[in-house]
Amino acid sequence: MPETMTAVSEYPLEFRLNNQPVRCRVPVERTLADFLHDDLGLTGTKLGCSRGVCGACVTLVDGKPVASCSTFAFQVNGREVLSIEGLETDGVLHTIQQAFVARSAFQCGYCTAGMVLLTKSLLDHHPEPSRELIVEWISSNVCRCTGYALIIEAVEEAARKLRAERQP
Amino acid sequence: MQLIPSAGLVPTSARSLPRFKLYEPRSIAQALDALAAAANPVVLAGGTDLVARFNEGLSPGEMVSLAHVAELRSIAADGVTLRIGACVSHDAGCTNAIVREQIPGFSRAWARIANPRIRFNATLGGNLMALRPRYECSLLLTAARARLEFTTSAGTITLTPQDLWAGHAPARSLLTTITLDTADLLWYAYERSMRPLITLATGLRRRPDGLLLSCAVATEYLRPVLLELEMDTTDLPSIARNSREIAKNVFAQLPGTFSDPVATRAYCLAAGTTLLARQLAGVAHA
Repeated sequence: MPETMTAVSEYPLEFRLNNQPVRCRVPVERTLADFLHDDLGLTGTKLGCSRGVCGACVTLVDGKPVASCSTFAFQVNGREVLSIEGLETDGVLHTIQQAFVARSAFQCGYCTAGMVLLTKSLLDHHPEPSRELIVEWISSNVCRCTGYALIIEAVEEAARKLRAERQP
Repeated sequence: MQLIPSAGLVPTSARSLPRFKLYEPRSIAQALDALAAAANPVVLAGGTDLVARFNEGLSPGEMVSLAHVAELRSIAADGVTLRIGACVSHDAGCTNAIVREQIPGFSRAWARIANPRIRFNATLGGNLMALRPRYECSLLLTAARARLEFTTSAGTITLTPQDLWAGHAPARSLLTTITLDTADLLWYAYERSMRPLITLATGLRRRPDGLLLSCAVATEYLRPVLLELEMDTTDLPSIARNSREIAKNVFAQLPGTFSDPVATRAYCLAAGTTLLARQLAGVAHA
């Protein structure tokens, strides 16, 4: 960590990404999206608007959705970050991803990574969301293809399946 | 022809963000020192607006991150006044038990702005300091007659949201606290169903000889204006029954210049009156 009152142009970044430690130095103006793409080769996060509006670039920081295009990499120092690449386990898609596949909840696929991670955060915060709450959350992200109906159904299915998985 | 702000702007690639240096103060005093030392600083709160500003041409020399200034994320109440730190996120604020208890209508309104993704990260102070008409907190706080405390090296200055729009915030100062009087606030409501065309927030406060109605109105392109009406009654059912007449009296004060390319004054007058009347029709249940 740099001296508090010394202005720095490069940041010693330490955080956990997809349950793995990451240590590196980044220019302070590097966005999280560009860091994932250019420094780590993780291109699953998609860039849509570069203004934090469309939500295609959503990643999770300490379980909360952020627009990675509008988040500087240094802002995740000391935190837990989950990108879309981190959702699957040993090649097996997460239950949410499986629900999106089962419900055909995508067309071009560009918003999908952001939608899936947003869903992850929603269901972590609200394991039994009402349809109204699902609509409120999913409307954070733009989808020009699907009309949202199948996405909402995928979220509902994911919620059911995750609840079932938690049953003893 | 009226130029709409942001028209014609093409976002540059995030890869071409201008270089800057970063300060990470641990206290308000250190933040002020950083602002004083920097040549061309910008403040980072939640950051949800800042990269967009870079895309609009912002090119600071230094960035002062408030992430580690814990004092700016406090919430406290004494039964008369609610004090909210400028870096309280929308989610933390609207779900806070103190805010919900002290000013429930404002808490409900706060929970409706933006979207869940933004609410986790964006801050009350950042929303205000962005000075974008379409951002909602200025409207909410105007209707709540909030006060904004700016800390400078010489002390604290208190402004209204309207003062902030007028450019009265001192240079190199830091918005630290938003205060709201809660003891006399009887009722508060927010109407955003016609957003972005028009939004309005309304508060009713007890006065020695009646009630004060404070209605803040904004459009996507116009900063909030405050319309107030002193009423010599505390009979809420009567206010509800006469909601249309009261709303007309309130909106008769709408400035003649309150008009934008999308929502004309005539529209704002008609829609605002209807929306306020509908709000007031529900005040009997306060």
